Formats: sequence, C-alpha cells, structure tokens
Amino acid sequence: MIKIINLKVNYDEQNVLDGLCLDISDNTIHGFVGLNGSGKTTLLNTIHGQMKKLQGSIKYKDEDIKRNDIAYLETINYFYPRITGKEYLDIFKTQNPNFDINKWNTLFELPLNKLIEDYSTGMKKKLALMGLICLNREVLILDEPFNGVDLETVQKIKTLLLKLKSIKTIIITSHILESLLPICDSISYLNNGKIQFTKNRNNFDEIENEIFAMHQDNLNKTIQDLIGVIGQ
Amino acid sequence: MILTIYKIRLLQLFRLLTPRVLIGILIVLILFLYAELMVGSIVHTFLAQSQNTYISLIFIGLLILSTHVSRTDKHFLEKIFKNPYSIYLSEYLLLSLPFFIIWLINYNLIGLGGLMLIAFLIPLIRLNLNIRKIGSISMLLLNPFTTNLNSKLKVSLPFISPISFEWISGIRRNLLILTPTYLFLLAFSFKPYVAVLGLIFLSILISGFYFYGESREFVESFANSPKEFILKKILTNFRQLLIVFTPILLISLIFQPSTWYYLIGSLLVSLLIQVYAVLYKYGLFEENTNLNRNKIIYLLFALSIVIPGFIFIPIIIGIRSYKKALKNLNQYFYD
Repeated sequence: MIKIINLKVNYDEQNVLDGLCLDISDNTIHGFVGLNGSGKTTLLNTIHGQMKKLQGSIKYKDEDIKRNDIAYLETINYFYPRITGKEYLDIFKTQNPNFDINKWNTLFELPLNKLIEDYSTGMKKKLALMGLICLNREVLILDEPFNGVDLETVQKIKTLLLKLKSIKTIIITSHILESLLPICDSISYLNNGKIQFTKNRNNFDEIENEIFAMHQDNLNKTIQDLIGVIGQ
Repeated sequence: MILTIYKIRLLQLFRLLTPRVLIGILIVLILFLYAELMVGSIVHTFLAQSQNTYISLIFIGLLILSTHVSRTDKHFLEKIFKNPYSIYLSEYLLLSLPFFIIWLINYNLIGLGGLMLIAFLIPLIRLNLNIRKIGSISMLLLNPFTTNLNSKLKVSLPFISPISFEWISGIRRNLLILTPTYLFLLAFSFKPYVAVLGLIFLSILISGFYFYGESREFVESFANSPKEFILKKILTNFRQLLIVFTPILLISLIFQPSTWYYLIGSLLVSLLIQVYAVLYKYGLFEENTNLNRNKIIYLLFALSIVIPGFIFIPIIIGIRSYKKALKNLNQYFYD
C-alpha cells in the first residue's frame, strides 16, 4: 500500500500541497483529477522524489518510498537527439535484459529503427511508456498519459493498464474525467493543493455532480456575463 | 497596436535583465567607453566619414536582414495583427536609430536615405530561415567543434554500445566533420606524428558529444550513486574511444614503431580530454538541455591540456566540475 501522510509541499514559498492524506491499495489504479494548477503534477513529482517535502511522508510497504520502486511517465517526454527508438529502449533494457523489445512492439507498432525526432507526439508517448514498462518497477505513475494520443492507442493503453494492475500499483492523472472512469478503482479530486474527495468505483457517478456543484454556479454566471459583453 | 508590442518588448527586456546580464552589459559599456576614450571615437569617426557610408549601409542592411529572416515571432505577429508591416518597420527604424542620429548630425543624406530604404524594404521580404541552421553554418565556419549541421542521415553504429548514447547521437550530428577527419587519419597515419596529433584532435571533436543533457530516466538507469555514475561514464567513454582509436594506433605503430612513446602520450592526453569533458558536462548538467553555449569556454580550457605549462587550468576546473557534478547528480540518487 502507498500511504501519503500529511504531505505539505511549498513552491516559491507558496503552499502547493497542503496536508494531503491518502491510502492507495496495492494492485489498483488510482486516478487524480483536478483543474490546471491544482497540484497534480507536484504531487506526482513529490511521490517520485523530484520535489522536496516540507512536511509529511510517503510510505510504500511501510517504508519510505524509493525512486527504484517507481517508473514515472511525465507529461512531456524528452528524448536525446539523433537516436532511434530501438536505441532508446536498449538503454532501459540494460536494467532488464529479459525485456523483449520486438514482442512488446507488436502492441505499440512503433517504427523503432527511425530517429525519434521523426515520431509523432503519440508515438513519443508510446515509446516513453514502453521504456518505463521495461524498467519493471512496482509502482507506475502516469501523468496525463492520454495527451496527444490517438483513440486506438488510448484504448490500447487502457487495456494494458487494466492487465498491468495485477502486478503493479498504478497512479494516473488526467484533465478529462471520462478517460479515467473505465480504468480506475478509485479517483481523488484535487483542488488548491487539497484532496477534496476520493471516490471508489461504486460512487464514480457522484464525482461529476460534486465537481460541478463546486464550480457550475460561478461558471454559468461568468460565461453569461462574458457573452453579454461580446454581444454589446 | 505598436504600443502594445513595445510594451511586451519592454517586459521581455526587463525579464532578461538578471544581475548577470547587467554585469555583462556594464563590462561591454566600460570596454566600449575605454576604447572610445583611448583610441578616439572609433564608431563615430568611422560613420562620419562619407567614404564609409556604403560599407556601413551594407553592414546595417545585413544586420537587419538577418534579424528579419530569422525572427521567430513572425507567425505570432501575422496571426494577431492584420498587417504587421508597421511593427517590423518601427522596430527596424528603432534598431538603426543610433546610425540615423550620427548621419543626421553629419548631414549625410546618402546614409539617411539608405537607412530609410533598408528599414522600409526589408519588412517586405517574406523569407524565413531557421535560426538554428544559420547558427550551425556560422559555427561550422568559426569553430568546427561545435557544429550541429547535419542532414537527417541515420547511420547504423553497431560498434557502439547503447549506453554510449552520446556517441551514437554525436557521430550522427557531426558526421560531416568526423568522416573526413577519421578517413584522413586512417590514410595518413603511416606518416610520422600524424596519428600523434590526429588522436588529440579527434578526442577534442569527440568530447563535443557531451554537450547535451540527457533526460532524468537516462541518468537514473545508468548508475546507483553520483560517484559510480561519473566513473562509469568515464570508463564507458574510454572503451569507445579505444575502439575508435585502435585502427589508427595500429597503422601508426606498424609504420612508425619508433614513435610509440609519443603515441602513448597522445593517447593519455586524449583520455584526459575525455575525463575533462565528462566532468565539465555534469558540472553544468541540466536535464534535456543543449549545453552548447558552454562549448567555447570548454574548448579553451580543454586546449590548455596540450599547451605546456597550462595543465593546471583544466585540473583546477576539473576538480571544481567534479564537485559540482556530484552535487548536480545527487538529486537523482537520493535513496
């Protein structure tokens, strides 16, 4: 189990995460949704150890979580210039020599002998994901994995994650709630650095109502005012 | 419209003015004033002489033309404003204002007319050039070690281990320089001292591979601690270097066996250059970042390895870089 206990993170003396507490069970997929700037990526960076905690702890199997426990797919993926997809994966393969690149590529269908610069955004995302799967870590963190990816690949990734959760614990974020609903076992809504609520699969239908209840009144009024201004 | 753009430009300028930039500007101004006072008003005198008008106009024209064809905000301006011509025109007039004032004082009508012509005509040019390519061509001419000029050639490099990704990428990026250099060395290593000097030259070229910061995943999967990382990086580099150097060394040893001790010296210097390149890179390390801006200073320090009496410079910088590298890499191996 991953236990996040009273986590506080500051960025430029501003509270980005404010006393977060959460338990994520093993072999489940936990989703985070939230507005832009709500602290999703900061939370993932902190779990991964890239950002320092001001307070609190993150435990995995009752010990402080280590980087070697985690494979982390960031929102934007960077690749070394002038190397091919195969060469990129070969670097990860040094950590896991049993990983069969060609066999995995039957799923992702990437032109592995081409330079990565020539890949589309979706292809790059798939390549980065394949690299992380190759690392074979117990916790898989995916920040916006469906960004820029075509419908067919979204479906492939979803199916893959559902299969992978039998051997891994997966944390995933998205701006789009609908993309998480079919795969997550639980979803937390982050707002202003706090978890507003966490819902289990049985209560997913409440998520939208609760989020809209928070924002919809203001949103309706603001849009009405703005349309009025354009109309004048 | 123009006022909004100037407001944005001022804000951009204001954000650029870090203490480091301010110190740089101050140094340039002091040097300029010093030159003006000691040698006389060089620029002013040069521009005031009517026979220099055409040369000055060509210079200003090229300056504005290169700015115009390589500016990256054209697409933005054309999307936002119906006719960005007046923005270009006002900016180029502003750029040429110092020359305008000097020629106005000297009543140089040809200069003034030429300036107006340049400022009015250049914004009409619809040509766009990739600034990186312009940079690459000029860098190739100025300094072949820093070139990034290459086609989309993807050569297969089976003799290089995948963990030496810097080599794979570096060879592809510098193929235009490396291929003739290597072939030349292979062909002429039977001559005395060609290999001795050639290996050092090749080592400096290769050290240029190390000027791109890899991603976090690459760093983390390479080693388990900063010290192990640096050591492994240097050893991997040595191994690749020896693979590349062996044919040249063999040819030279067969035809010039008496120069073996020079060859060993050359090999040691080459290896030292590689150690220095690795330390320097990770001393400045930033993830996913092109570190080419540090290459000229690196080259000056690296070249001092081969200048008798100056070896202390790379040693001091190397030790400093090593400490900084450990600190930089520590964030990836915190467990």
